[in-house]
Amino acid sequence: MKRISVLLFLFMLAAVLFSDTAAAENGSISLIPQVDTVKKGMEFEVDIRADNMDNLYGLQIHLSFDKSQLEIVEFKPEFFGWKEDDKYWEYHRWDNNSGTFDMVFTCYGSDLFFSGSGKLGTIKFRVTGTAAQLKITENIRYKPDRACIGVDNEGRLSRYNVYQVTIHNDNIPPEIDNIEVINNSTIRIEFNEPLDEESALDLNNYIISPDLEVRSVHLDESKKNITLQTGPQVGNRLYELTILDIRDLIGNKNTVVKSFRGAMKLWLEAVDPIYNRNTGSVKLKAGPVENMTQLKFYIKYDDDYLKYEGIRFDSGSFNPQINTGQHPPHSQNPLYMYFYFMLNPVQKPVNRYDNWDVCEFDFLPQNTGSTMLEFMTDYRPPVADGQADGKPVTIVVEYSDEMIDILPSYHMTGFIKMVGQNDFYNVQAYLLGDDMKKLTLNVLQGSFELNYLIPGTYTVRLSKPGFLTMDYSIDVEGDTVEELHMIAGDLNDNLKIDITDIAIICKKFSTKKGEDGWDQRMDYNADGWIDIVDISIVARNYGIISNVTG
Amino acid sequence: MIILMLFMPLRYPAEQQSGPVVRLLAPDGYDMELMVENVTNLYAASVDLYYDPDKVNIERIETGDLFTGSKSPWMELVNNINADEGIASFAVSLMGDVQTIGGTGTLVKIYYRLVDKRKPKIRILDYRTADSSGSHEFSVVPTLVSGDIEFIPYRSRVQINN
Repeated sequence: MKRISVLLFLFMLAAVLFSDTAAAENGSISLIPQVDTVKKGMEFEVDIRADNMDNLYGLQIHLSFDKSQLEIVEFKPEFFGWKEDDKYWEYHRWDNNSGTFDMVFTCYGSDLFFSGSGKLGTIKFRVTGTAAQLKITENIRYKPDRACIGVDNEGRLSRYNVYQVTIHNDNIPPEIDNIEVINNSTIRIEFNEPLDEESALDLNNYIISPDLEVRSVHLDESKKNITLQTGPQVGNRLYELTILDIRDLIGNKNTVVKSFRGAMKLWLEAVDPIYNRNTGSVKLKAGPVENMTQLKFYIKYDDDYLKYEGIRFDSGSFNPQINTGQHPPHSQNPLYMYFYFMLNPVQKPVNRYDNWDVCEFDFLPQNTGSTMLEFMTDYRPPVADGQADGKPVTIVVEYSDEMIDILPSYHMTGFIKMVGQNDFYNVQAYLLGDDMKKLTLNVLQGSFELNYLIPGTYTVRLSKPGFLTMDYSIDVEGDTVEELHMIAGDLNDNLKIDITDIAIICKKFSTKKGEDGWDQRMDYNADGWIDIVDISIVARNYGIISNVTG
Repeated sequence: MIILMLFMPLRYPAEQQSGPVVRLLAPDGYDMELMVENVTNLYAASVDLYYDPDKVNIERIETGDLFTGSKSPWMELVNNINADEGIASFAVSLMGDVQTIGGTGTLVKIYYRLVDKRKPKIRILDYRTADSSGSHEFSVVPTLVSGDIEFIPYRSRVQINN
């Protein structure tokens, strides 16, 4: 049986080799590499695939490759997945000295042939050269029209197209195209080719000096761009980034070094809670920076909520130019007010190595609510200039806005109460604080009002001849109405009610208005007679000492 | 046995050494009388007591004959005992522009009982510096006011007879 098969195969082979071929049919042969890119020394596989075969009985393929760049290591036939005991026979050979590969197969018997598409086998190559492109083609050196021909089950010949393949041979390690400083803690590194994920994401491969921590690394989808999160950078400081053992997808390894200048940070920060109609302060803060020579920025604010009142800065170091205006300029209904602030260090360039206050703005809130205090970005974003090696440079600035919450302020009404009378004409009322502020009294009602108070404890001092001068503490956590009871009896103004006060009023006992010795102060019940009622009012408060100190 | 405690004299000018004397008498070791000796031009007076309510219980305070025996009208204006805080206050005054008091007599009588049977340390304190703060076993603060509405300086003595 085997002898018959060999004879049949030889017959078919002779027919294929020595017969004229028919016109090309629909069938084709494709070479499908399992990788797109290789490098020297690497082994890779190329599948040989037959498509659209029609009753294929026998086939021969002759392939060619650059012998200086590639060598064949192995060939694994598959033949459409047929089992070994199926009735077919195959033969293959390669010659790395000439760069050729030949393969032929045929069925035997009359009941086995193939229609459709399937894999014929896999060639394993090894890359031996460094040419950028490696081509595997049909071998047309001897008989161009017989590089790939087949025969069907009725002995008719067909010539098939062989689609050649080109494989990239990459032996160049990755290089940095560009470093972009995104902000004070982020840099973006653009490589010239996709990177191996493992080496790119290894934090230990990144060193930034002088001493800047690398906190995280991210590789984007293209695998060409790395984003590093760093510790806070010093603005305008020259950093050197070293990336160790970074590899491309094919494994070419490199250590790259690139410099960049750090970004500085600017941000706005409300000093304390801000209350409606109470001047509030917002600090412009900055991170460390070296050799900064100028800082320019615009800040937008909504004048429905904020009214700019002024600025404080270190006049010994800075000489700012400040302009306020509307935005958009000349708009009849401006959405925002803005001011332009240009800060020129008067003497040397600024060098700061900690967070620092550039200046402090005062605003008078006009309404309760939330409003954004923000750097202008669309019109003129913040710009910082600096020096590097005696030459001007632009410093990357990261800036962040501040949402200002304007909290409600409160109203307080104080009603003064006195035993026996409602004579408020001689009452003196002061709001204590850094300064004593005299309060305006409604002498008919004996009341005073304080508006736009922030939550807290307020002290009001009340005094009136014949009464004990006292400080009254009032807690304000909302709109507040408070009764303040004055204490009668301090007739000698010694801030306590003692026996001398009793003696003083007793001495006036039974004195009537208009008589000699009449003292209006002691007529507490305002009945025109200093009598036991007035004396008892003083006596009732005997022993009380004022809380006024100093 | 007589225990004599002097607190005030060193603080007065020499010419005032002949002024009135306030003497606290506790003849039986319990109830007390506050005597005023050789006073002139007395118009009003107060007595404040600061005591430890765990040791002493003040029962009442009565106006003495210095005022009750006066021919001028007078009034006891304050007589308050606060046992919780250990403070008792007493004030008496003549009424109107009348003749002031002179001589010697009892200003007040103080009726008290010991709570823990141990006799407290009794002191007369200077009316200008005494206050209710601090530790008091039994402190008496007399104040004398003249017809000119001025404090009358005095010397004080505590006399306890057992």
